[in-house]
Amino acid sequence: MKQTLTIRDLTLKHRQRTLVDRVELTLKAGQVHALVGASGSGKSLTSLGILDLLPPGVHSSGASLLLDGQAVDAAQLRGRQVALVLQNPRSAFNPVRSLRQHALETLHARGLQGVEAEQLIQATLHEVGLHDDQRVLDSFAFQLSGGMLQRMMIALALLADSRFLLADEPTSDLDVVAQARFLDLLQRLVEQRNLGVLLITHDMGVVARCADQVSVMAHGRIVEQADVHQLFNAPQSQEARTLLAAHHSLTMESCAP
Amino acid sequence: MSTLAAVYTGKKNGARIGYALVALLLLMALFGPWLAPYDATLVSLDDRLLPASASHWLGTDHLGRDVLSRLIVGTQLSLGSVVLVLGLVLVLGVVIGGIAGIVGGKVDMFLMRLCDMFLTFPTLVLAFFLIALLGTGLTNVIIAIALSHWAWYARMVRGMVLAQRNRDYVLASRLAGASRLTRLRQHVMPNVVGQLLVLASMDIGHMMLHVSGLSFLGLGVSPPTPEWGVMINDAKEFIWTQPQLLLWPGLMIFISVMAFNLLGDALRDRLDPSVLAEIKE
Amino acid sequence: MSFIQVRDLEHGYSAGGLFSKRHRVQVLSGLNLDLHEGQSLGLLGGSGSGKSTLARLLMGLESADRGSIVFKGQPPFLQRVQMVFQDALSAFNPQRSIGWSIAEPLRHLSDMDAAACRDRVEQLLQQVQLEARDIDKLPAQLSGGQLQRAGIARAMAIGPQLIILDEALSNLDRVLQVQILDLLAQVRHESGTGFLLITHDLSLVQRFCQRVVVLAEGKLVEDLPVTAQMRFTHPAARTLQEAVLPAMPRVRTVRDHVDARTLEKL
Repeated sequence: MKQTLTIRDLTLKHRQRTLVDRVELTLKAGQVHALVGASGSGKSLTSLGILDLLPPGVHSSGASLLLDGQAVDAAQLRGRQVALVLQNPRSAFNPVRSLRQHALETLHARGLQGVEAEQLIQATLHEVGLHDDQRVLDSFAFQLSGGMLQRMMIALALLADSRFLLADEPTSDLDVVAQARFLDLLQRLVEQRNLGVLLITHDMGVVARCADQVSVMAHGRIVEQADVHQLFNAPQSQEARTLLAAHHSLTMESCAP
Repeated sequence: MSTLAAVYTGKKNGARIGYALVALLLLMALFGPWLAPYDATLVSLDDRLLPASASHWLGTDHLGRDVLSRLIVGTQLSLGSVVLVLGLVLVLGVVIGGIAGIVGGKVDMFLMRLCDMFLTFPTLVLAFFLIALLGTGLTNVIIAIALSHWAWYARMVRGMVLAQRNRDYVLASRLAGASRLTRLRQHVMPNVVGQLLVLASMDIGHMMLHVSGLSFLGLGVSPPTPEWGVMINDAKEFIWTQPQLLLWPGLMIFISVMAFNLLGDALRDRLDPSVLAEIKE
Repeated sequence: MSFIQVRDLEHGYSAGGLFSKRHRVQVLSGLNLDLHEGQSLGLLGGSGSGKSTLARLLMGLESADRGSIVFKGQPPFLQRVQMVFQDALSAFNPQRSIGWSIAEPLRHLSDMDAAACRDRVEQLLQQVQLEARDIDKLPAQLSGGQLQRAGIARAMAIGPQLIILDEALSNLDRVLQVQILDLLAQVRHESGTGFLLITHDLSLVQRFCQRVVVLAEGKLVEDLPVTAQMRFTHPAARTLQEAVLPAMPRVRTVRDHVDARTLEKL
């Protein structure tokens, strides 16, 4: 069982400009590590950098990935040990292929086919709360809601037997109800399946809801790394204080149960 | 993300090449007769099929005419006829497609069925049919190609108008109290025309091939006049012995098509809001 | 004193076609709502609840199948009521400058001359904390937050009594949301403008509004003054309330069995 994924010294440059500067992150199985920051702080680029899925013109230098202390290549991890969940789920699916085809393709990569594959797909869809599994599998991405597609993304990650999940603003396009359900699911899987999650967000409410560790990013650098309680009770960096101030001004007098 | 800006600057080189080539072609079209080293129609039977040399850079053709001069002077007709075709097509397309999209209802229905009639036939067959009706000659070729292409543009314009009408900024303008006419004039049409110019610039190459193709078949420009399609037609008998005679006008067509495609790409990047939005971040 | 009166509103769409059977989707059915002058009203609803449809009906961008929307203020309507769109980038003509777009209501709904329009736009830009040089920029040159401020400036231009914000803050991050809510509160304070804040996020309503209504199943199922202790009773409304994210992280080891109230002390 893989227990930790460490990213060391991730630096991303475009021409002479440094976009992400010597970022170090460690994901632990069974924990949610939140990466927070304002828009443009380089947090999305970091997640793409980890999997070496950079946009053209951006170069990574000197980064190393360690899976339980062993150096690994990003290409080996992608879609296997590590899965990616994006903000806009609709763009992550091929619009002319049904979700069943997506699921079968994922299992095919693992060498699973036939009845065995069908059963596993069904069980996994139930696990992520897609109980109407046959209808969902026969659908195309544009026929389902954003919340359902995000669940499907998670299901595909589980089908690929990924140990780690990089989730880039997975709930920003969802309404609050769909967001709460998605975060519930994420937390359940972290506990039951011992997933390690990197959760990228700008919403400290999401962090409060389900993060264990938090890294705060500003201008491409990690400016603070702390336990979630420590961060909320005694933020050290200016960036963290700004994010928390906005968060608290929206939630402190709230009457949420 | 500034990463996409990088893609954009990378593309800029393509745009520069496009602009430069189009400028060069325009120069040749406008000042061809002055730039050409020889008279493009001067027949000199003693100098037939000469290879490239210091006096004839690209050699001479089967009637001893200087190939380089014919290429340069031919630019005017080859390019000019395409510009005329395009102008006609755009006017017809914008007017008919615009009316269909704006007025809607029965008028839309009628105009679109008319378009369908024109779209039913392959463009080349339709062009042949029209030339058969109108007679040969460059003017008729231009009219025939324009008539066989306008329907496609009219449909595009109609679709764009319909799409634009429901854009948020058109609704915002409606909430700002702008009249229907003002919304069309200030929001719908400028954005339609912007997109249309991009499409048209990419279509120039295609039209050029049509004009040259019809000239090659002997339907357009008649032989002594220099034009690239005619030159290819003239050279086809020497395809095995003197292949360079086909190569040079072919190359000119290729370069022009490429130049206008690059220009179209550059225009799209300039005008397309979605591309702009990505570059900004 | 009621400013806009909505009575028995019904509206629906035809859906399906290519891939499924065509059918009628009823979005609003029997909706009643009174908008009061100078009030900040929060309209809360999940996605697909018909919030945006209601906004479009209120603004006259669509006409309802049945029912009435009566404007009781001083006509003309558009001088009194304006709207801010959700997607700021698509709400601006990509070919026109920000200043041109903000001045649009002034050109059509007021008799200001060009110089007066420019003065007003400069004043508006300052009010929404944009820079004076932004006036000549194109939409694509501004960030999402800046563009939404410009959208608010455009809605404010003519000095309406009510501004409808149709999920206008949903695409922005928390820091920007708070900044813009503060800005709107200031506008309300200075000019007495009323707001209809349409959102799925109760925390925004609680920060900004005096009254909240909840839209579910095509009608309003809650109508309450906003207080710190307010509790919804309708199940759909309770779901929206319970989905609000916590202010502080919970204790991890006992994650699932802890009463939330004991944690407030931590």
